[in-house]
This record gives sequence, C-alpha cells and structure tokens, in this order.
Amino acid sequence: MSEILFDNVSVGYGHKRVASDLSFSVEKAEITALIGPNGAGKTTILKTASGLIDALGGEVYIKDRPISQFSRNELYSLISVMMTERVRTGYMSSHDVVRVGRYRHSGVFGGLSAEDKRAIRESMDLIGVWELRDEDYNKLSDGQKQRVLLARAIVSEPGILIMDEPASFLDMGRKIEFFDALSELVKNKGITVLISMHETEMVKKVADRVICISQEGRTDRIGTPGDILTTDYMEKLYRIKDGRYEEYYG
Amino acid sequence: MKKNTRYILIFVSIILILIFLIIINIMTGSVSLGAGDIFRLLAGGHAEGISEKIIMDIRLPRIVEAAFLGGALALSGYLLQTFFLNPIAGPYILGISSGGKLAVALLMVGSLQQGFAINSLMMVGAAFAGALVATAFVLMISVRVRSMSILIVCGVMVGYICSSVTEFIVTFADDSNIVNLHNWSMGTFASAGWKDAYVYIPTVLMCIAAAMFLSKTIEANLFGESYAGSLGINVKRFRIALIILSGLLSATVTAFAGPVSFVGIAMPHVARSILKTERPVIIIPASVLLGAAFCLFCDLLARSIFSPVELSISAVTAVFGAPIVIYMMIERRTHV
Repeated sequence: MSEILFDNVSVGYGHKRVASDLSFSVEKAEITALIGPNGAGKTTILKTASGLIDALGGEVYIKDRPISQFSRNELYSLISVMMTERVRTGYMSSHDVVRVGRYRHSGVFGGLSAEDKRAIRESMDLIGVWELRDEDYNKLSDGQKQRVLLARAIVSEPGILIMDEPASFLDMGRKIEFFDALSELVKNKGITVLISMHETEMVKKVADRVICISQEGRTDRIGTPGDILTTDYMEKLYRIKDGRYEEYYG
Repeated sequence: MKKNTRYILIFVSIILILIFLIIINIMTGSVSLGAGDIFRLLAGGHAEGISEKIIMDIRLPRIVEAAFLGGALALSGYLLQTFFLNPIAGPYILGISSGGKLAVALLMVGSLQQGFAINSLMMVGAAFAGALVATAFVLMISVRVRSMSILIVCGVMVGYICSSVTEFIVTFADDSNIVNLHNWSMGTFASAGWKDAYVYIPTVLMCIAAAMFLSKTIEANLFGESYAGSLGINVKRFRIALIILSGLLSATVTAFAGPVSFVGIAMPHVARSILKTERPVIIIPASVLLGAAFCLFCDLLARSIFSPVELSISAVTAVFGAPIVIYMMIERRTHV
C-alpha cells in the first residue's frame, strides 16, 4: 500500500493546467523529494496531494483510497501540510504558533488538554525548539522560525507530512539543521514525507526517492538519488549548458 | 501562569474603567446628580422623583446603547480585520457603515412618504442589506486589486458616495423630520430609548457569542488561508460567517446610532497592544470591552463639552481614534 499515489493526474487552477500525466507513489516512512525547475508545478502538485485543491484529471489516492472520498476531518488527521505561505502574525510566542497545530484536538475555545500539552512538548523537544517556547515568534531567525513551523506541522501527529521548499531561505548551516531534524523525525516516528526542494546537493543525503518534474510539467524520472543526480541528467532537467553543472556542484 | 495573571489584571482594569465611565456618565449632564442618588437607585431604592426619571429614562438607556454599540463596532472591525488579514480595516473606513446609513435613510424617507410605520427590526434589516451591498462592492474590488491601501481608498470612496446620496435624500425629506434624520446621519447616541435595547442587546450578544465560537478558527486563519484549509477548516464558509457577523454588527450600530467612525479600526489594535497577544479568544472580549469604554468616554465628551449643544459622536471618536490609526500605520511600516 502506498501512502500517496498519483494515477495519471493533471493539476492546476480552474481551467489552467500546470502539470499533467503525473504518475508516482510515495511510500511509508520514506522521504520522497520533488525536484525540478521553477514553474514546473511542484507547489501545485503538493497542494493537490494534500487535498487543498482538486485534481483536474486522474485520481489521487491516499492509502489506496481516492482522496475525494475523504472528509476534511479524516484527511487532515492523516496529513499535515507545511506550505511557504509567510504571514505577519503580530504578537505570538513560538508556543502559540505550535499550539495552533493542535486545532483539531483542542477544546471549542482552544483550551489544551493534558494530551495536547504533551504533544506540544514532545514535538517541540524533538525539533529542538522547546527552549524557544516563550520567545516572540516574529523575532526569531528564519532558521528558528522554520523549525518552529516544522514542530507545528508534526504536533497533530500526522502519518504524512507534505512540505513545500521548507529550507529555501535558510543559510547552509540552518539547512543542515533543518534536514537533520527532518531525517530524525522520519527515523523515530515513521512519518512519510513528500517534500519539494531546491537543494539538489542535499537531496542525496535527505531523500530516499526522487521524483523529477520537467519544465513541461511531467513526471520525467523517478528513482533513488544515486540514479537521478547525475551530471548529465541534472543539466537536462534544469536546462544547464554542458559542463556548467559540474563546475558549480561537482 | 505569569502571562495569565497579566491578562486578568488588564481585564479587571478595563472593567473598572468601564464602571467608572458608567458612573461619570450617569452623574454628568444639564442636571448634575450626586453619587448618593445613584447608589440609592442601584441599591434598588428610589431617588427623588425627577432624578430617577432622568437616570432611568434618559441617561441609562443612552449609556447602555453607547456601551453595547461601541462593543459591537469594535468586534465588527476585528472581524473585518480577520477577513482581510489586515489590521487597518473597519466598518466605517470600508464604507460599510455608510452603505447601511443610506439604506436606513431610504427606508425612513420612504416610510414618511408612503405613510407606513417603521420599527427597530426594519431599521436593522435595511442597514444590514445596505451594509452587505457596500461589502459586496468592496469585495468585488478586493479580488481585482490585491493592495490593501487601494481597497481602503475605494472603501472611503464608497463611503463618500453613500453619504452624499444620504445627504441628498435628507435634504428632500419632510421638514419636520429633517432635524432627527440629520442628527442620526452624523452619528449620535442621543436618540437612545429602552425599546431599541430589546433589539440591539440580543443581536450584539448573539454576535459576540458566535465570534467567540469562531475564535479558534480565526486564530488558525491568522497563518493564512492555505494553512487554515490544511487544518480541515472550511475556509469559504468561515469567510462568509465573518462577513455576515461583521455586517450584522455594523448594521445594528448604524440603525440605532448612525455611522460611528474609528472605533472598529482602533480598538482591536489597542487590545492587541496592551495585551501583547494575538489570540482571538482574548482579543475578542478585550476589544468589545474597550469599544464599550471608548464609546462611553466619547459620548460623555460629545454631550458635555459644549453643553447644551451636542457634538456628533464621530466628531469625538475621530479625534481620539484617528491618531491611533496613524500611529498603527507608522508602527507597521517600521516593523515589517
């Protein structure tokens, strides 16, 4: 059983198709990375996989069941989503931010049960942001913010985590910290991760499987990082002139 | 725990200020009343004949109206700010109050000419319809332009258009009713009576309760619509609820007191600033209480500074509210 299965899916908004003929699967307790040039439709694919928008064609399956058959409640007790939406939040502590992730569990007015408190403590500990709990979220560094958001994403104890370029605006050290935390999470909790990322140099370390989306919005190649991340193929996927990839990343 | 103690202290202070303002409001007026009379009345006894009449029939209904409608305005502003994910939104500045005002003016003049009697519910209904039409117009603009400042300019324009049409209607209304209509269209709590209270008190309380039940969802929505959606929230239904609630609140205010400026924008901001939190479950009651206190304070000034001449309530709320909004915009510029 695959956690997520795309069967000949087209994605887009309204009548505008962004990517089509997508067929791939995401397996349990693995990190599957979605790579490809900007504008290939990675974000749209992730939104479709998480049920935030409907597929324009084909069928998306979550645990072998069509996503359209899930109620909102069922779906989002399984899936947690971390998109790149950055909003100004005003006065909020890191704890406040993570607490919102318990939306579906907490009381009518947002009151926390002992179980909610335990989950918040555990996820913040796991990501190493418990010490930041009373800090003003807006005053944190970008790296700390992303880790708090990661803690928020797992506080609902999801089976599947879908993330859109979570490390894009972090510096090298913070990227490593972030992906370390993510790998730990998969190892300890058996969470399934579908993640889009730009850091091809880190895919090798982080991902179990790689799905390549071409400029034309097709699943171009699927395989292990070792198979995919060859100079020739990277140059083709990202349309880089011969030899230039090696010069920068080699 | 330290945080909670601070919240409680702030809430107690706001409530004390509110009580203080109520007492001052009862005492102040063309006939000044002593504290003795008031306490005797509150204790269930009777004050000297005329004092009791002044308090029960003139001052108290006005105080109750200013408090409830002030709270309604602040909540309406807060809900609109949630809707637009922007702190510089309110029923007055977006032209929603003026839309309600126009509809009520039409109803009033229509009733005079056609000779049918109007009641409080019809006024609220008309104001609600007008508010929703104005909101629909603002929303139509908001999907076309993604800029909040342009949206606000458009809201102000809608407000001006509605106000000038109202002015036009008022000018051609029957002579005897012009004075009343004119005062109301400028915004005032002077016409307050107990019978209106049967309409606005339940409406406002119902809306506050509904907003409290939405507080958890409002909080999730602070992080953006996609995020709210990914928690399983039906974002569309939530946004419709916000518009209906804020429209109903501002319509209730407009029907009874006319358009009142700046309370809706400024009070949620004051609440956020002093409580240093964004949590709706705290900010909603705080905004309501602050809105009530602010309107009591402004109404006190409106009727007492140039007594016996009364100022329109918006003239006073603007003096205090506008600087808060300007400060807020400067703060936002420097903090983003």
